[in-house]
Amino acid sequence: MVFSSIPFLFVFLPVVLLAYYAGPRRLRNLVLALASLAFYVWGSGALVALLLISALANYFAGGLVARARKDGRIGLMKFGVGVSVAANVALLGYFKYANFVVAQMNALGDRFGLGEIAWESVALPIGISFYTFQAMSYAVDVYRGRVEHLKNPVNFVLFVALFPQLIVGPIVRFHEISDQILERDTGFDQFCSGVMRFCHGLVKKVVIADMVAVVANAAFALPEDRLNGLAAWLGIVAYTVQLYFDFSAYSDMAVGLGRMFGFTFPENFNRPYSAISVTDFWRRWHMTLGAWFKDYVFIPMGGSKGGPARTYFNLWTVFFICGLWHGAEWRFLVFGCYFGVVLVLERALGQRPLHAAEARFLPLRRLLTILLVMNSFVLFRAPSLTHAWYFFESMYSFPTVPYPVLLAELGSKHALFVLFLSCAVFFLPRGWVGGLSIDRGRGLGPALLRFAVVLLGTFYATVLVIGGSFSPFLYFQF
Amino acid sequence: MRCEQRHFYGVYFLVLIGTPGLGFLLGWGGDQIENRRLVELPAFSWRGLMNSDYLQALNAYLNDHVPFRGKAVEVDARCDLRVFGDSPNPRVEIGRDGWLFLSETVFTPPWSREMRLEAARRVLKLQRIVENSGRTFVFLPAPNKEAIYPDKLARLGRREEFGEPLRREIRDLLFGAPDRARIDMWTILEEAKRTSDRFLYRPMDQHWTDGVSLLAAREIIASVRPGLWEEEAAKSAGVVRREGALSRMIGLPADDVQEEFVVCREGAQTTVLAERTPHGPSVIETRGERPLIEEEALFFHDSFLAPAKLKLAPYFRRSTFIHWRGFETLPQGGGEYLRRYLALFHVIVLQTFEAHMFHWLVENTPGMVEDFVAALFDDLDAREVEFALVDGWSGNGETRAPGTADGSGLVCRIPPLACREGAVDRYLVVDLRCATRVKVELVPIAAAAPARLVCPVPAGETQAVFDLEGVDVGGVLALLPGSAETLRIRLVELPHGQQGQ
Repeated sequence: MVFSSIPFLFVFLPVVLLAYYAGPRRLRNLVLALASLAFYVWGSGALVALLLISALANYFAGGLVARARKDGRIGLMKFGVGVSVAANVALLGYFKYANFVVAQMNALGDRFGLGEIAWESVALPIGISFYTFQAMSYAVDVYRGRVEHLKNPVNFVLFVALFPQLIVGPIVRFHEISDQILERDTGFDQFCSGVMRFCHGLVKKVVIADMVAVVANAAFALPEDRLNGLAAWLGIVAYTVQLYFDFSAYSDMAVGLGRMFGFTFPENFNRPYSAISVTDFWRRWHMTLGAWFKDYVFIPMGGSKGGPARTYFNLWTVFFICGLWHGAEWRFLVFGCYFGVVLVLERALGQRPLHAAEARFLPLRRLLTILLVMNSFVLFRAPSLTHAWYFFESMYSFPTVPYPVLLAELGSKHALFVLFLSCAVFFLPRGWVGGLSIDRGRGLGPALLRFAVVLLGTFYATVLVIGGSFSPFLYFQF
Repeated sequence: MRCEQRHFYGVYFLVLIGTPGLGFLLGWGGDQIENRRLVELPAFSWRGLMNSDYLQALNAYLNDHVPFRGKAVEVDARCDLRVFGDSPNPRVEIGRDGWLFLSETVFTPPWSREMRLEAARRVLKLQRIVENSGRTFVFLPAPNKEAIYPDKLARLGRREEFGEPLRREIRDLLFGAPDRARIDMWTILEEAKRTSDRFLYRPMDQHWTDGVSLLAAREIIASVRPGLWEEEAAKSAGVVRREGALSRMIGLPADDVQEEFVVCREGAQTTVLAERTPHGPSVIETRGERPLIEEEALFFHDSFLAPAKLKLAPYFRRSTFIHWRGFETLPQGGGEYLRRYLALFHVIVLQTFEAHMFHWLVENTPGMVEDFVAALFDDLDAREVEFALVDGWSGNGETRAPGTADGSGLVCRIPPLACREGAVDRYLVVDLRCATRVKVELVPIAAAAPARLVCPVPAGETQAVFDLEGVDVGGVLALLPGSAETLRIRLVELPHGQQGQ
């Protein structure tokens, strides 16, 4: 169930808000945990059992670590953390990567005449990449002494399954909200602040991302013999815009929903397309994933303390794993390796993130960064490496196709207009953050922005959400 | 930002999401704005809940029944249309003067040039088969709206690639040589457009007007029995408003105003005997002293000819109408339909929409030519092998007839045969009445079997018999180069020692 759907907006959310605020305060965590499980069941049915088993296993592993810590038994602490990490990695490995590994082994076996492994495809549970990472952070944080073990397992289930961030993040590390799980501000002001953030996300998703997606989808659906340079560039620009507005919109909605229920989630995006290097980009894009990898992979591997060669290796490995985390396909592996190489090169060349005032050739660096990022997004969006290859060919070669694609074939005027406007995201000043202006800005400008986004934009987004259910059936008439 | 302002937006949001939610409870939803049945509330089951079926069905139900859906669709459509000049539905093309067109027929027909030409070739094949059996055949295509009204299109796009040149080829193939059996509605409508101010197609719909359906009825009668049509029998039934399907598709339902007609032949009484399903056969009988076409008529038609049923029926003693969609909706399939009905009729009329000619005549009824033969030449009464005769048309990745340069030959496959020892002899009998020359190849399947057995057949024979004694064949390929339309193959099993006839 996505946030911008009729069942969520008009049934699930009103019912949960009513149950949450109308019920006794002491039962709020239970209400929210049950609502989160219901949310998961709505999308994944019986796979909720896996989520529950994962949550409980991590809870008990965390409990073991906490007890061992209290008793000063370091070995047992390490064992507890090891069990938690191994269980989560095994879970993720089986459900996310087993199909891929078996397919590759079968391809090899086929090539060398070794036969095939009989294998029934495993269904990928929704949100498993997110909830395993979150759950894993619990035992590690208890081990590091950052937080106390939660006494009530319901609270831990709430942490793992909390529906605003269950499906696409942001990835919340346990120590970031451990206090809020026990005590949080649920005043009307906090609620309204959440509403505004949610509306901001809803408008970004429905009015911009979904509309721009039309252009990107049309370009990526073009067959090889019809894809020319113009269409390819328009397609990848559209996809770059779509990905940002879509993903950051979900994060906005998640943060907004969190606030509606009294939580303060970490931010996930900070104007990533204003980055002046790829390193800078990754500090602004999917920030919670970056923070998680830094905290739980890069630093445990030694971080940057082991000399340049070791640092480069660690950096590259983190991005290799990051690529793999995005999906069990070769193109995601290439995506991760690509960023690993670029980041190592930047580090070797001394390109660190800088304050805009200190950086020279700012527009050029922004342009170069966005081009490097766009290239990686081709791998991200294309359905296969082969498709990505011919997309690159079209982007970087002279047009040779016999029938150049007309602009009108890539999208309606509405879609192209929205794409044109939303390209502003590439050019806005680095310091300007629209979300903050909507949320807290004072004066006429922010007030007008609020009016446009929250009042008109949300109404229009609602119209689009409801109108999106229209599906006439023409052939009935013939 | 002031607290009151923030609270105002909070309340606004609650009202925005709460009102439809409340509307669900009060039963406000369920706007019937599409031409389909809305999803019904699914019955709860634990199993459905666990495998997500129940919740998916519930999602579909909520999507269909959300309150204010009609209004939201309308606002969305008006915004696209008025603000951006876009079509709210990519399947509908906005033309000049508010005219609407079906995008897939204007710009991107899903079938290739070869496939579409094949539909025209198949019409010619069917005509020869039907006429060779001593029956009357009529073909009437309904041109695409944009073929008659290209001036109402707002943009031409890739029309040159898909539109006029190919249409010209199809027209040349079908109407290059004048034939009363094939009615050139393109020319007739182009002429009518030149000489009349009245619209021939409905601006808000893909269909032609009722006046054109009357014209189509007249042309069919003139083709079957020249001179029988009575102009004075056609009378105006007044001006009627009809909702346009294309306007409904863009979410802005609008009516077309058109004059409608009825055909009343004095002394002729028309009775609708059966109207089984919307797409199944409807049978209409006419009695009286007026001259009628006595031979039973069968119409394969779509929604273009549907309004002409009662305009045609008064001229036939008995007429049966089958919508092409009947081939899809009935479980026994199109072949069964044809075999059941064809042989009973002496007038066979095919009517298709230009845009769907390939779909109805080839794609949806792949064995149609063979079914026609099977039904119309049913005096070959020996036991038959189940066979699928695949026409060798090319261009869509299907099998070409091997050995023919242009793929126009016919390929026939029968299931693997193993001639059992002793009990029976097996003969393969090929009916040659539709063929001029034929060569049959028996392809052995067993490794030990002899190499390919080629049996040339001299011209002039009506039947060729092949002795299958000792030959295990896995497939039989029959190639009919040149002008042959079809062939019939039977496997005859006779008591051991008796020669097949």
